[in-house]
Amino acid sequence: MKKSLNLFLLGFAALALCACGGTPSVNPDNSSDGTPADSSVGTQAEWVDYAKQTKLTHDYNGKEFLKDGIGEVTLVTKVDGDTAHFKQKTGDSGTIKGRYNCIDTPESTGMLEPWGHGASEYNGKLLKEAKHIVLSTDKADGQGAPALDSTGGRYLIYVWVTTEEHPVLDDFICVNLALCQEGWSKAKGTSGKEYADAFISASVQAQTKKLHVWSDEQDPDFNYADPVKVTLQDVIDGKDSKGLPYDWNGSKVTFDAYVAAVGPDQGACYVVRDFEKTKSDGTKYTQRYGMYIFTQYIVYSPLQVIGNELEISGTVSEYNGTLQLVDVSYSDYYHEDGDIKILSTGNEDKVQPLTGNAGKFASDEYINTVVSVDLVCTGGYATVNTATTSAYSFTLYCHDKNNPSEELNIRISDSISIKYPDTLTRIKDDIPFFKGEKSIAESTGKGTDTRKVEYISITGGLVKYVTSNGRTTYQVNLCKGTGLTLHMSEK
Amino acid sequence: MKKSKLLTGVISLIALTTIVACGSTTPTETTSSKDNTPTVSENMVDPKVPEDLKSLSCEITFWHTMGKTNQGTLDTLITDFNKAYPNVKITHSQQGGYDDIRDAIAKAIPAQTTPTMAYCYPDHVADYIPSDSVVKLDDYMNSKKIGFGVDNGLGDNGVDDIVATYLDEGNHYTKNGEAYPGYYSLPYSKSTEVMFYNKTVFDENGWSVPTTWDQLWKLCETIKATYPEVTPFGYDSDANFYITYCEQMGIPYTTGEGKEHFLFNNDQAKNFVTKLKEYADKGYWTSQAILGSGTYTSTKFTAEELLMTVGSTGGTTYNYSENFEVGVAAVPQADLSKGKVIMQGPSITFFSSASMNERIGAWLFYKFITNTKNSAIWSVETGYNPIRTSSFQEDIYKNRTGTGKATLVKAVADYMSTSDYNKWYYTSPAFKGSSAARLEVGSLMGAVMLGTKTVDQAFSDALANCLFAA
Repeated sequence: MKKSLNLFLLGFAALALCACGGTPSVNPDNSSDGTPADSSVGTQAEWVDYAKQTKLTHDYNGKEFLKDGIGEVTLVTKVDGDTAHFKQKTGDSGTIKGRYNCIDTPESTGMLEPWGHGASEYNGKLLKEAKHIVLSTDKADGQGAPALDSTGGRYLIYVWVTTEEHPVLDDFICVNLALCQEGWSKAKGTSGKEYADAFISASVQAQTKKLHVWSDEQDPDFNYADPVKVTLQDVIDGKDSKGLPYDWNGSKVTFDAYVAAVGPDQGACYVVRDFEKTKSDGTKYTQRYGMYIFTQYIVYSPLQVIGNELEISGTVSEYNGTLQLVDVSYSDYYHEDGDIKILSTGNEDKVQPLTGNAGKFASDEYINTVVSVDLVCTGGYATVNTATTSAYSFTLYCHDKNNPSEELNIRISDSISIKYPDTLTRIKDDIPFFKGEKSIAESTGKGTDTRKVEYISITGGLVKYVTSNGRTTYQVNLCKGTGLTLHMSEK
Repeated sequence: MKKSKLLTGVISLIALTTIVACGSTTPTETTSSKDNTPTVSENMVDPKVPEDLKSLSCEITFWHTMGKTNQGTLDTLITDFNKAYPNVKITHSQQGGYDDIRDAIAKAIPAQTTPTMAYCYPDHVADYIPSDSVVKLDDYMNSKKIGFGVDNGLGDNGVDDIVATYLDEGNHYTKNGEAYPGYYSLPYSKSTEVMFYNKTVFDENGWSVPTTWDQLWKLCETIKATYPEVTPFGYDSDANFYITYCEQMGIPYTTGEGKEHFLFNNDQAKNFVTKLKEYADKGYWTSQAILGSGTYTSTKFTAEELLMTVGSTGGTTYNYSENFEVGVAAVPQADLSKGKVIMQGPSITFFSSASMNERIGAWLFYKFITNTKNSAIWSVETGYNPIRTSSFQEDIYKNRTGTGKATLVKAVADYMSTSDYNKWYYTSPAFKGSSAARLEVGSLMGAVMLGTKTVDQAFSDALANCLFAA
């Protein structure tokens, strides 16, 4: 019965194609991305390029996204399939954290889901190839200032790209819609939205063609294997259990380590463990290894207590040239095999921050361990979270307190508020204050406190950062406000 | 007894005839909403409950708006439920936000592709009722075989300890302006509003937390004098501010009955909105509409640009900050002896397009996910309120520990379980057009506070829009 119905539909589709008298257009991505050919009737139907059909109709020239709801931007970083950070080409230079409207791609950062990696790559490809990028807010959210998502920290955006050097509006395609059309995301939250019909149609078409998230196949880029029991040392040193070189990036692993610092991302932490090593002359020494655990802002209680010894399972991933662990899980009430296990508690003595000078820590040796160091600020920059007027992130260029030739920077997230000493006032965009060039009174514009910053004590995770011009720098990533002390001059 | 058996036999015969006529293999219950006034008093569900209930086999679809974290918790609940009912296959999918799920269901109703069960707000259900699309639940709730209080291997799930206001919400629908008796939705993820405040700054300055609006506006004056750059107070939802204040003051807003639903265009309401405008101009308070861009007041609160903010308990974690201690207090009141706070959060409704087995399976699943233990777990994991008072006594709830933002979820939970806050709950009547009223009073507040409309113009426009929408 079912077979005869299919035959009927096949015949009907064939007739429809003949009636159209043309060759159906081909999904341009379908043949090149490894998507298995689909023998169902759906693939015989005409492919509609909704992404190309849907035009950018609002002029962006002379406009700013943050003020006008549309404007040209440059890419700062692609985060995953449906999130990227941008800066306006003109106007406010703050970071625009953008969450793509009307889609929700599988996860590929803190959590990992099948097809998440591909979605992220596809998004990155379109952004990277673009000669111009325009962001627009939904017309339903009103003209003018753009809307924020439910987290309150990201703008809901349509991302329009073109590879033309001198484009007209018709040259742009909507990345959100292209992702949906290629089956990297189902259409989500389209109700009442400007391009709702296009998203729903593109989603239905992708479902019919069983593209990616709609596929019956497994994602070839997703690791479905069980985790391998390893040591933190092996992962960081890049060796397998026999001591042979092995790249653990992308592997599912389980290792034991202690929580050494919590933050700065919500739910995240640094874990460390000491290992005994032998020098070439036979003398033994202890080397500390560390790893950042990124949970995509989900709080798992075992990761929040310094001194917890944990068995942690997750996937090794690379972020900015440094390995981190993602896709961990835990529930207080429903335990599963791959969940974090608490092996012991109260091991604060095993996680005391490493101390030393800047020169010691400005190397790969102590990456992702927790360090304490005294630094003098020489410059830097501040970036406001554009959803607020007072939440700034800082990168402070610093050198060692006692040796100006030893460079080591400080990174402070906008989720951490740094206040002027003995006040409740948050420090905003004032690098000269950190440099000790301005007093508290001069920086705040209030009072008579003439004290200035002499040097900064910081405790945080040691991270590597490669600048846009390819220079490698090392930063101490502040985890909590209490990890930073501003040492002030006498009044 | 004999009469009952005879009746069962007649019903069975009718059912059998229907099945044969339709050529279906699954019996379908007469849509209860269609036989709103049954000619018999017997429970219509009991005769259709399979003898071997544990072998019940069906596929349930559950549409909701849960984020990925909460979906993980739901998955574990499904796994646990399937230990008792292995042949009830439950698939769930997020449909976007609340407007999306309402729209998706509105499209699915004529196509007969509705899910078995779905998240809903009362005004959604009010929209579904005219097409007889939702199941009247009274016979399920009262069933001797599968009703509330019958174990069915699903744990403690009586009806008596469900918070009365939560339960009542599903029993106050109207159809064509007339009361439409019966339960058409049941509570699940319930929340209310509380006030979060910057306890660090309050303690530093020796300020008391205001409990009335008079105290609040007085404190705003003090705060503004101390910290001119700070906005003292924020109310996340303009509509909730409007509706709650009206409820507290006894100012008419809407009614579900009769033909005149929209009562908000009155002098009392205009006077209080005028007063709020004065306070907004002084920089005493702000809201999502005033801030624009959909900026939540919680974002400004955690950035230390606000010192007090009223927000949903369901969004508690957005008010958490590592940078200062966050206190939890009641929403300020007009009269503390007659406290009023809004009750919100989605309920669950069931659709009449489902087969009888699917309805029974969905009902059993609902009983399971709202039993005392699971209601406590859901609360601890998500921040929503338990729908049962007995859940407050569960060890899971009482002994919860928390670090980071979980400390604030715990502080809210402790406040809810140790105060009489749930006695202050109110809900607004749900009718076709009630969602428009809510939308319009929220817009009205924004327009007045931002100065884009006069008070009179804003009220008359809002009324006109409501009448058009209804």
